[in-house]
This record gives sequence, C-alpha cells and structure tokens, in this order.
Amino acid sequence: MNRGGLLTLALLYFLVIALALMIVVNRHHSRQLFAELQKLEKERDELSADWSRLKLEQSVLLNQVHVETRSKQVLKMQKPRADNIKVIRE
Amino acid sequence: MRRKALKSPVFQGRRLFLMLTLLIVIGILMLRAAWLEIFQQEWLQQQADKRQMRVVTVPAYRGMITDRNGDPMAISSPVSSLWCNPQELLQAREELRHEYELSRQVTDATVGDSAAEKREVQELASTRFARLESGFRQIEKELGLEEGSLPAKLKEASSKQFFYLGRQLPLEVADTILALDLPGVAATREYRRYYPLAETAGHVVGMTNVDGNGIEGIEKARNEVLAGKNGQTRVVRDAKGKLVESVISMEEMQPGQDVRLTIDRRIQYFAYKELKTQVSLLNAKAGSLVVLDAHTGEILAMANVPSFNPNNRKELEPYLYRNRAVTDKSEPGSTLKPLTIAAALEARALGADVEVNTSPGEIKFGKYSVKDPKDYGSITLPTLLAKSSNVGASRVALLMNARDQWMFLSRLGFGQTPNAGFSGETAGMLTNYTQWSKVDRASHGYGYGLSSSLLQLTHAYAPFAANGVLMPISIYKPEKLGFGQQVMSPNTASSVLRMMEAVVQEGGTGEKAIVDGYRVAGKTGTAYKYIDGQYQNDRYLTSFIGVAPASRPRLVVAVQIDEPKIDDSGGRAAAPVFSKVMAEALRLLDVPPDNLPDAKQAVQQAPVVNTVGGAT
Repeated sequence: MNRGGLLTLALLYFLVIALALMIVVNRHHSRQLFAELQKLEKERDELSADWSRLKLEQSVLLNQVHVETRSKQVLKMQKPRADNIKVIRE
Repeated sequence: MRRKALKSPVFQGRRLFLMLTLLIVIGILMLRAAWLEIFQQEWLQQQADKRQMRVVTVPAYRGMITDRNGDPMAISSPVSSLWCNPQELLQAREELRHEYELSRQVTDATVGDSAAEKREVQELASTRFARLESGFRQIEKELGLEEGSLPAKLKEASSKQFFYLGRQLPLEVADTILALDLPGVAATREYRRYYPLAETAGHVVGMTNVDGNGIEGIEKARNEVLAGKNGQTRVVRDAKGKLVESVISMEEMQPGQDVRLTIDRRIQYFAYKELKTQVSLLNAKAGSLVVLDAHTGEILAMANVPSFNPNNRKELEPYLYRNRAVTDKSEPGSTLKPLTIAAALEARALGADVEVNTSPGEIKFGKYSVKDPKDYGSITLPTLLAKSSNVGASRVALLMNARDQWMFLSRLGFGQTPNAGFSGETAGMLTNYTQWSKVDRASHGYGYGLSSSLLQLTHAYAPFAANGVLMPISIYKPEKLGFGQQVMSPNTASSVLRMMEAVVQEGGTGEKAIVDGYRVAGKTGTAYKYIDGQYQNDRYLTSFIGVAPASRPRLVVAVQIDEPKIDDSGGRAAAPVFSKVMAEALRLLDVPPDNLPDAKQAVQQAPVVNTVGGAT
C-alpha cells in the first residue's frame, strides 16, 4: 500500500471515531432535549388544567341563579314590568 | 542496560505458549463478539427493545363543546391515571416505614445536643413515609373508597405486575405520589370531561364513557371531530418507568376541534328549571321543551325532564338519557290545527275571514265520530283555534283534497328526519295520502293519525314566524346561514299568526301563556295516548306551542308535558312554562316589546321611566 493510501485510511479511521463520538454527543443532547420537552409538556398540562379549572369556575360564577340572586340582593335590581319599559326605535 | 545485555532464550517455549494462549482467548472473545453482533444481533435487539422500548399513546385533547357565545358546555381537563407494580411498591413502602420507625427510635434514644439534628433526620424520613400515606388517603378520598383500603387492595393484587392505584385523579394528587420517586410507580396522562351545566343540558350535550368516547348526545354525534386523533410515539424507558428518549413519532397527535352549538346557556338553564318545576308540580311523567329561532333555524334551548347529570356516570339508567324532544314521537293533537288552516289557505280552499259551521258539535263517519265538548255553532277561524274545535278543524281539512293536505304537512317536515345534528332523531310518521279515507283526512286535520317529535312540530311552526320561510333546523352554529324554503305565502303565515293570537287572550285556551309586554300567538294541544288499541282518557300529552312577538315574530317555544296528574283538557298545564321561558328568552335576546300598555302615557313619563329602566 502506498503512502497516500495509508494516509487516507488513517484519515477515514479518525473520521469514523469522530463521527461515533458525535453520535454519542448528539444522542445525549437529544435525550436532554426530550427531558426538557417532557418538563414543558408537564407544565403545559398543569397550565391547561388551570385554564380549564378557571373556565369552569367562570362558568359557575356566570351561572344564571348566581347572577340573578346577586343582582337582586346586592345591587337591588329588578326585572322591569311592561309598563316600565319604553322602546326607542331608531 | 544490564537488562538489555541479558539474554533470555531459555523461556522461548513458554513465551510462545503464553502468546498463543492469549491469542486464542482473544480470538474466542472476538469470535463471540462477532457471533453476537452479526448472527444474534436481531434477536438481542428485540430483547432489548422489549425491555426498554414502549409505544406510548399521546392522548389527543378532546375539543370543547361551547354554546353560541363560546361559553363551555363540556370541557376536558387533564388528569393522571396512576399505576404501579404492586410488589415493588409494597416493598418500597415497607422500607420507608422501616426507615421511619428506625429514625424515631434513634430520636427517642438520643437526648441533648444532637436532638435537633436527629429531629431533622426523622422529619425527613417521616415526611417521605407520611407523604406516601397522605397520598394514599387523597386517592381514597378522590375515588370514594374507605380510608385505609388502598394498601389492602395492593396486597390483594401483589401477585400481579400491574395495578391502577387510581384512574382519572387530579394532577396534584398524582404528583404528591410521583414526587416521592418510588420504584414501579408511574402515571399516564388522560383527560376527564366536565360538564358545567350538569343535568340542565345533559340530553343535548350528552356524555363520554371512561375511555373518552362520546356515548350520548352531541358527544356521540360529533365524536370524531371532538376526539381528534391520538398520537403514538416509540420511547425508551428506564428501569423506573421514566421516559428517556423519544425514538420516533409514529403518528402525529391531532387535537380535537371545538364544536359550537346554537344553544344559549342562559335560556337553556332557565328553560330546564321552569320545565322541571312544572313537571314536578303536576306530578307528570316527563316533559320536553324546545326554543327555536325561526329566522335562522337555530335551536336556542332544548330541555327534557327527567334528566341526568353527565358528570356522574354512576346513577345512570337508560330511560333518563333519552332526549325525548328528538327521539320520541307522539300524535301532535290540537297543536296541528293552525297547520291545517294554513294548508287550507294555501290550497285556496277557503279565505281567512270565513266562518265554519260546527253544528251540531259532532261529525259522524260510519262508526267513528268527531266531537266537540259542546256545540259552538258557526265560528270564525280565530275562534276555532281559541276554542280548539275538532269538528271545525275536520270541516276545514275536508274542504281541501288529501294531496294538498299531505303535500303541505310533508313540506313542513312531517315524516322526515329533521337532520338537526342529534343522534337518534325520529322521522315521525306520515302515511301516504293515497291510503287516506275521509276519516283520516279529518283526523289529520286535528292532529291524530300522524306522529312527530316535539322538535319536528316546533320546526313546523317556524314558518309562521318567518314569513312562510322554513329554515333548515340545526344545533350547530353555522358559518353562514343556509337557504330556507318558502313553504307558504307570507300572507298565509301572517293571517294564521293573527288567528293564533286569539288563543292567547283572556278567555282563550292559552290564556296562561300571556307574556307581559309582548303579543303572543300560539296553540294549546292535548293528545290522548293510543295504548292497546284505544285512546286512553286519563293518559295524555299536553302541549303548548307559541310564537312571539306577534308583530315581528322571532322565537318559537314549544312545551310538552307527558301524563300530568291533573285534569287538563285544554293544555293549560304547559302554558305557564311557555310564558316564563318565552319572556326570559325575549329579554335575554333583547327583543323589543311590542305590547306596551299605553305608548302615549309612556312617552309623557319618559324621564321617570328612564330612571327605572336605568336601574334595571
């Protein structure tokens, strides 16, 4: 085998080693990213749980009975009778 | 230097032997490695994958069901299902307990300087054990189990490899246990469905089963859109069951889409409440109610009693979750009379201002006869409706030919599935006119011999409120309005509407349907049930269908009450519900009143009126 051939072989050898190391590094990196993804997904779940809980709470507070009793008792409102209504047509 | 000088040919043989032995050993090892790598690689890889690789399902978020304003009617919330390997968990629990006991003894034994330090140690151990125990308590509480029953269950299941500690737990509860980092415990993410309107809208919205598939109502009808598509990912798991790496995403998860209904939850709530009150007041078997926007064909509310709470799957019985307004058909009875008059007007069989002679209050067809409670004599069409004369309606029906009558009813949707978007819609029944005898023509005139669901009947009234246009009915909020069909002339629609106003006057059968501030047109109805070959005098459906405001109609509200336990021949039982629901719906939709007491006086008192109006 001539000199050039040997050199190429050595080069390829180191290349293979380097690539193998890179695979290891990348794999590690991808696992780290996956761990982070899981963390973020968990966070997203918590947030969306919060969101749906708040949405539920909101809809409980918007409950007709609740609104009606509060407007009647706290704000002293009442439904207008027909003779209290005046319609202004544009 | 001396070393180099020293010759050692003496051990040549040994050296060679050693070299050879080493070479052979190395060779064997390499061969073995090559064997494993080349010939057994596939099998080994499989074994490794079996132990580490898992295909994990990524659950899709189920879409919301919202009302017309975007308020949630069904919403998914993420929950955790906690599972474990019972053996490993029990062992870990024992170790924790041991640690806890030990540190307590140590603290008991030591006094003095080190007490503080020891207490810290004990606290640390006890919190881990205590945290596990309190986590168990929380699960028991969440699932309604007896306190302390979970460890016993674990022991029972200790021969198994897999045990659900609890399904669909709130995230915090699952996290208290997961945070302990115990071997053999892991959680799966799932979604749980919540229904903020509970039993108020149970029939419309429906519900899902434990696995998240819609089994009733809209949840079932639109399951595919709501559910989305679960994704699948191949992952590598470590010994503790934690995910280490996602190798490949096999199927992309597609979240479910929201479904927007035409329901207005405020009207829905009120309608259900009023219906329920009335049904229990009358000790009736059941009741249904539909609120329809005639101009758009949108169902604003639909309620049924008895109802069910979709949040609680335990207490369910089949008869509870039938959406009666959609799935049950019955003979409409007197509520069909305005349609008969409209059909006759359309067929030009009579004019709007004619009088119909109902003497002597009875018509005989061979062995059948149609009767009125008394002889009303010669009556106008509004009076016919107000008194709900069967003889009059029969006479009107007999004035036109069967084909016209059938065509008209068929155009209004009788005998056809309404296609509103529910599952299990009934088409009702409308036999072909070629089979009709004279009796059938008459009985169709006052609402017997055909059947329909309450939804169909409500829909059939919509043209009266929309200048004779029948809009396709829908429970889903459309992007843009569909095209309606002109089923009767605007003239016919408005004259029948005027006639129906006579029903809702003092002295009419629909007196109790009067809505303060609005002109109302409507019709009462009583339909006796046909059981065992004859009509039952004591078992009937009483109903009221009405349109308001009569001057510029917008809404149709239909109420039907099944077997009220009172004497009610004129449909009086349903009218109060109609009145209350209609009043509330018109108010909520900001429909201006058209029947204010005295307009002139109101103008004069304008300032006063305004202050009152401002306060409301």
